[in-house]
Amino acid sequence: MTNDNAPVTSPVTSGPVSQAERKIVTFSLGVQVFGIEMASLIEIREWAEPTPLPGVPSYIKGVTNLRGTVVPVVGLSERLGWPPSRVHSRSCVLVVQAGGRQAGFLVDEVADIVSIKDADVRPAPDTEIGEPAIIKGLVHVPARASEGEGAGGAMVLLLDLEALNLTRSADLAA
Amino acid sequence: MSKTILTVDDSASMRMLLKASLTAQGYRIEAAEDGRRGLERLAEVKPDLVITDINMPEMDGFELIEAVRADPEHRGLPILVLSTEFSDEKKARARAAGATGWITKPFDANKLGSAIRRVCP
Amino acid sequence: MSDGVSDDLDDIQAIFFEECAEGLATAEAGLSAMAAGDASAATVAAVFRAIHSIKGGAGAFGHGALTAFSHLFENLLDEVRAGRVAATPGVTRVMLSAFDVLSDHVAAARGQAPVPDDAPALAALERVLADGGVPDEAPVPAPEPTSDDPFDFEPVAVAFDGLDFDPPAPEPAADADWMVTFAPSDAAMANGAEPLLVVRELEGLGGRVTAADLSRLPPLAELSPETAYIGWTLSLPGSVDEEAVAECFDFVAPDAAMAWTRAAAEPAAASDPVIPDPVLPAAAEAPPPLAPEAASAPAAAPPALPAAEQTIRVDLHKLDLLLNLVGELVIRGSILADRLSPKDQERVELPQLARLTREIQDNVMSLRAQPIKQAFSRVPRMLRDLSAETGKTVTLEVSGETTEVDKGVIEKIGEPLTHMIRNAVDHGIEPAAVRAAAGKPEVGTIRLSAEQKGARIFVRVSDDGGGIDRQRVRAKAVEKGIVAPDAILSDEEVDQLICAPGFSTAETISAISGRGVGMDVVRANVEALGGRVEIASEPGVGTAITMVLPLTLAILEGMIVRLAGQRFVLPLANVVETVQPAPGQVRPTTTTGEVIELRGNYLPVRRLTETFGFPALAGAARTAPEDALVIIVESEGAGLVGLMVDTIDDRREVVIKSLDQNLHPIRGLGGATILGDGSIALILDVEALVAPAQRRIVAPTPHRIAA
Repeated sequence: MTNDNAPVTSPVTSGPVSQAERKIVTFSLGVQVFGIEMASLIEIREWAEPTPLPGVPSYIKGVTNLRGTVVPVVGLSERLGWPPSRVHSRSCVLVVQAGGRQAGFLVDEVADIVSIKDADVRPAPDTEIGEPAIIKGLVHVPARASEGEGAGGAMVLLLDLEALNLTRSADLAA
Repeated sequence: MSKTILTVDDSASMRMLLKASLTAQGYRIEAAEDGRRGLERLAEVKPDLVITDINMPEMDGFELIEAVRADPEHRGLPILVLSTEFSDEKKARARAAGATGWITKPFDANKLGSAIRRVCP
Repeated sequence: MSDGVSDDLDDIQAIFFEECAEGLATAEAGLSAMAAGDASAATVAAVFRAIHSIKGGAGAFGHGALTAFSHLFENLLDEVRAGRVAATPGVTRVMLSAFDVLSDHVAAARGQAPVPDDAPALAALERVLADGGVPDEAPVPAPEPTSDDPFDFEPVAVAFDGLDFDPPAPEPAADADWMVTFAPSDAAMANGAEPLLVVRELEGLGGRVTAADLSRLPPLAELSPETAYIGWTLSLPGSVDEEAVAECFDFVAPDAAMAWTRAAAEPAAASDPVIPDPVLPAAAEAPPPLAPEAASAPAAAPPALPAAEQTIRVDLHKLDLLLNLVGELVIRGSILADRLSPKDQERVELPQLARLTREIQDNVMSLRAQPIKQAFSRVPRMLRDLSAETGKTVTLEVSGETTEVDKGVIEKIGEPLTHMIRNAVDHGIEPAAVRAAAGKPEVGTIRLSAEQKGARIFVRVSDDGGGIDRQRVRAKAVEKGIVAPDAILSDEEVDQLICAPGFSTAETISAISGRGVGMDVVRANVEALGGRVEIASEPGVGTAITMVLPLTLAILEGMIVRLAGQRFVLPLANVVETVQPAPGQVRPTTTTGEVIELRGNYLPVRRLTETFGFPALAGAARTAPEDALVIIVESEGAGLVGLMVDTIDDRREVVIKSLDQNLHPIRGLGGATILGDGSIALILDVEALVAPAQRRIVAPTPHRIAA
């Protein structure tokens, strides 16, 4: 195994800190900011056209080569039922590991890595995402000091990666 | 020059425990997983001391000791026997078979060390 | 203790737990054999050794409950081994139950399960030990010490009994110095012992030799180097523990003269060599020699053990790396071959390289291959538990357990097997009364088998129970909205309904089978391995559920073809020939169907671009067959079929990468491969592509996610 494609970031499991804290990676899709567990993140990659797959829902853009493993690339926006993301210079693919599987998710822009306390996570409100199980909760992330005044931080929707389950989409379709 | 100890035990984890403990005390370790291979290894490495388990397949500890003692060249070789308990009867049995001494398992590193010192010049 | 050391201990303990697993397997096999009537010395000895090893290691790693339980178990096994307790069915039953508890203890020691309540099992073991057997059984043979047992310890008068610890002087100071005397016996140097080391040890404790008795020393000429002639007197500081002093003499032959006493307040003994009278009355006589039992082979000859192979433990992760590297080697080899001119490709080195690479690959893959027995090992215990819980008696027949499969497969079929066995007992096998009424034997039978046929492994669980109640299954499926009420389903389709998620026919959801979790998990797991589940059932006769798994053939010889510009791999195994159609050779039969005329036969033609639903270029007509290529393939399901592709790039060996690992099986695809330039080519599954019913592979209706 060669290390040519060294990951931009590597998964870090947060150490035992008082008051159950953990790290999340935040990113944006359109105007909404989402977050996923840092521990699930394998790598952040630039967008590259994946190899298309026949017979899959349109939100599965195809598959890509992750250091010898074939990994599906998902248009996260479409998966959530929104219009497809438009790819631009800051688009990237978050390669994650969840439920024993790996997958890459196309997002508009990666924002930051922040620590949040479990206690601060509130139940998610009704959003326009029809599959409520996908959203684990809502947490407010304060703006970084460097962002200057006026930046009020963001309300981050925490995604449950396992609930985004890509397998066995249709079952016993007629 | 450090001494060489041949450990004979069919349990890999026990061999590793012995190795860890004895290496820390400055000994060189050779290992075998039963009596028969112990005999072979003995001829190859000519250890200064043998530590052997009793219950092993193929050739058990007592058989090994007797085979060793049968060879005049090895009648002076110190041999320690490992066992989980050592009643007086078992000690005498071990001695009659030709063992020089014994160690109980689970072994205490210090007791192991002093047992070795008492038999290994 | 540094972290490095405790890491080492963790590693060693991990190995110990592996040994426990092996030991438990050996013990279970032996106990099962004993239950079946084979109580030969070899079998019992194997079980004894296994439990003994577990006990030994458990003590070393501080697992108290496990040590205590295995100790008692070992005691009973020792009695059985010595012939003092007979291995009757009752006794064997007690031992099998004890074995189950022992397994639970091991699991608890590993932190995988709570510590079991072993009180009943302990009591049962103690009762058997006390009674010498199980009551209500045929009288146990009178316990006799068998002379052919090498491990029978006979009590021997040991000299230590006679040691007189009373201080000679009436009132010694509690911490008065020690006076130690030591005169090794003549046999002191037998067994490789060196008495001087005892003296050295005492000196190490702070002792000083105060006197030496040379009275027995002969002239040099008569000196025998292996006889002890000298006695010593030493004084040790009173601060030394008596235990430490005693320990120095631990290995000394009992017939030596040794004593240690706290000195009286009187001044230390004069320099006269003084040897106190031997305090040991029996010392003069050597202990009665024990017959060296171990030397003579026991009457029951030691078992002819299969020649133990030398084995080495390898981290599975390392094997995976190795397999990946070999895969890369194959790819690079292909690329290298491509770069050579056709003339150079003929050179003998190239096929040799390919052959060597293939051999390495075969060997590495066989490293991961293990007998499927491992996956079957938990089943007997499971059946015992299930029998107890359901009150149904079931026997197990196993075949094909030596079939070798990839280790990854073994790990993944464990859970499915568990579900299948539970289902078979819970739903398959009828209660005894029902079976009797149907004329079946009251004891149900479950057959577990593994077989390799070609490129597939068939793992089957079959029972002689009542079969699948199709009416009930169908009704439940309709109730749960899984199928429409008026749907027409074949028997096979109804059977497959039991694999639908959320399906369960249990009226009382039993603790064993759980809530509707079961066959759908099985199917999901099996499909994740690239396999499928086959169900066959006959009412009143029984049910057979088979997991069909692909052998992990990591390398495939294929043709790289292009469809709409995208590269795909067509397995060469199916390819019969390639045809560049002449004008008119391919003719339409219906609006969409085509055939190709080949030497008088008409074979159906499939346009793969259309099968995969690749969007046709706007306004363009279908490609003329003369501008394409038709590859004739042979299939099980449809005979000879022609597949139309745009072009063929070349043929090469590719490494199969799983699609199912991270996604799910896709009809028409048998995985993917990574080409030399890092790009991905999908591998075509010919059987699925030519299946007559499969006209098009369309995407399933996407979920309506947006509210």
